[in-house]
Amino acid sequence: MKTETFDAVVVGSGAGGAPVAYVLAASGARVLVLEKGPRYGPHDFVRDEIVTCRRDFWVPYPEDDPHVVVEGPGAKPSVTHRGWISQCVGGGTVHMSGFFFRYHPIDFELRSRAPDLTGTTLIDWPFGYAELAPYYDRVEKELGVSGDLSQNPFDPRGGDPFPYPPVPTHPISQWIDAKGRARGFHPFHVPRAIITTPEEALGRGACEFHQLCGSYGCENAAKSSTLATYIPRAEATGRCTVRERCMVERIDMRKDGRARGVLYVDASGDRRRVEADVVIVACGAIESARLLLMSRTASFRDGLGNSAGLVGKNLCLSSLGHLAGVMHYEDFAEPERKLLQNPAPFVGRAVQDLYELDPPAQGLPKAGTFHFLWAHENPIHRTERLLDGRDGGLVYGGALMERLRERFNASRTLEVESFSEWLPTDGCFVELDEQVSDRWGLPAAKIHIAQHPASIAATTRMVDASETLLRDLGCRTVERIDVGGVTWVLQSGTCRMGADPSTSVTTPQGNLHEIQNLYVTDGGALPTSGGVPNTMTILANALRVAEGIVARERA
Amino acid sequence: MTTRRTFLIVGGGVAVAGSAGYLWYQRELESLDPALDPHIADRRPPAQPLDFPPFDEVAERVLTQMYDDLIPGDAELPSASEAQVMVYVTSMARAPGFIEVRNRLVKLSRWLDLESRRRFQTRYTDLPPEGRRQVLDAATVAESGRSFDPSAALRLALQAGLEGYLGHPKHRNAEPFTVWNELGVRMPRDPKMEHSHS
Repeated sequence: MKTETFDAVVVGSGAGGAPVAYVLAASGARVLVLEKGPRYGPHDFVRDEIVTCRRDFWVPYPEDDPHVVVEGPGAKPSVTHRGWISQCVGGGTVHMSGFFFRYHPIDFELRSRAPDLTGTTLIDWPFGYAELAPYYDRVEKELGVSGDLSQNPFDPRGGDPFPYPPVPTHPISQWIDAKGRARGFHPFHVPRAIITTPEEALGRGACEFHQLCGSYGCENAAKSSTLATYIPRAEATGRCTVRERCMVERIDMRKDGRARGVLYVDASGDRRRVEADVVIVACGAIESARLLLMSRTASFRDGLGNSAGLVGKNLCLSSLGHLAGVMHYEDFAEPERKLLQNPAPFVGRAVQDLYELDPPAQGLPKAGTFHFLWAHENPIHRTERLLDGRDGGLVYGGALMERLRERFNASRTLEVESFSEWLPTDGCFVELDEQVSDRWGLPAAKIHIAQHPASIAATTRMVDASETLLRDLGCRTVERIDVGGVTWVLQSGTCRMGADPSTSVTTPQGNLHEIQNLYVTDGGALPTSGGVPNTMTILANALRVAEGIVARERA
Repeated sequence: MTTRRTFLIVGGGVAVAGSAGYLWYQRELESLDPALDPHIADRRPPAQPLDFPPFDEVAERVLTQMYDDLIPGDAELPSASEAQVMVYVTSMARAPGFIEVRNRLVKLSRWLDLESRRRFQTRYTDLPPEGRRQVLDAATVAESGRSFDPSAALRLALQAGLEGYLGHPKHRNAEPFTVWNELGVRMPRDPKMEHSHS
């Protein structure tokens, strides 16, 4: 079997892997990035809902690469596509909507701030917001984040201008501002990982305001994916090799307890071995835990870094609140009616007045962020929401045609999506399935899901507030689609950082407590889910860990 | 008494032997920690398309009628037949990763015929519209505890049909954009073209 040698091997090329590859390559290291999925180019991105959103463009078919999900104790396991983020070079950053918020200081010290909270395995981060702040700044500059937070008194960022001007918003944002302030809230402009002015030297165009942004790739690289940013920059150093369609089967270990490299199956189906001084795992919280658990050796019989039994445990997702408010055109006079029909895609308003809760929700002193957006334009997705009758039955026939007319021709749907803290618990974890395998013959990840009631209570507070605002805005009906649902793509916790090996898997520097040169830099390293999408925090932490590796190697 | 030369020879020998011993030990530490094989099954090829027609004549007949009942259209919107929905569902049922959808649609077609015969002693496609509506209403009632739940299958069937009805018409060799134009769908007609707002 062919064996190659690099200074570092990075498994995964998304938010957790690409920044590390770039920092290490820029410092002079020879880096190999192994990505399971394909490398898409601008010509691959098509705005076809079936091709892009309803097939295996981003996530695999369950027949090929399943996850197994158990929703609650005693529930029947189901083989599913849920739990995948994205399999392609750039990972989930290629199709994300790019809502880029920072964690707040409370996210780093939630355990300390919630002494009355029980039934959770929550820990504090081993450092605070101040340590990550300069890396958030770097992400904004290097990736490209546009925004204006001058109206948000709760954001820790402060008032410095963003590197790019804010994305223009739909005129309804002014209604949201007025109605929100009337209720005592502080609506603000949502920061986006989208560049609003071109960067021709980097081969990136400015945003062209397509109707279809989230769930689709961006053919002019205005969306700040790692595919458009850190990956080409890493390759431009001449020291970074990115290989697509490579499935890493295991991490090899030395008898002295250091990681030796990885064994993988390449795009041709051949097994290959890579040896490296540093191994970075960044496959997403669920898949990184799976890789560590699969990489059992004579010395690590329960999986790498798993002597305390914590690899895969403390899985956090994001507690989802989701509402749809239907604004019927006939309820509005001109010119408001014409305003509603304006096709500008981005509403761009969020509220963080409920980021911290007083009084707490069942002991949890925080909820998170809710934001407004137009219902996604994908017509099949929009129609699937119309199939439930008021009595729980299926809507079809003439009744379905009427609903189609009402939703598509006679109204516009304004949605609210909220991100709330998902507390870690004993019942929410990842293990290896003993029966279900992927097409490489490897055990699938078995994901046990359980949500703490305080998380649901906090989400409910945001849903209640959002519903009030939707009605204030003139929505005739407001449907609660999810209260305490699951945002699967926002994953954290399975290899969480901490100073204490009895409650954490990785050190504050990012390496496994038990294995000095093996690092986890994706969401699995984050001890909390936060009250925002965690993508920006994953990127910032990955930069921090990478700089630490460089500093220690130089020393 | 040890002379200097003896010392150098003996000391050097021990030093060499010592280094050799250390190097052996170092190589041992760097060697591979025996891996415990993670595989629980053999490798298998990626999911393949179905290599035979997904529906027989009976299933095709029943499903075509069912889709016209589920998606009848209106004065301006085409029915499922007019929109070539069954063309789409047939191609979807052959696609890699959709074998389970195909199986459920086949079972649903059988269930509809059996229920129709049970209620009205005639097959589903020979019923008048009201009879077919009663059979479909019966299919919407969940049957838990049984191996086949018609309500789940009917919902799946409707979702598959809507995928065809509301997806890009190129997927079903249909008339260009009648449904999209009538509903004001803001999807790009050419999926590769830019679609900016003014």
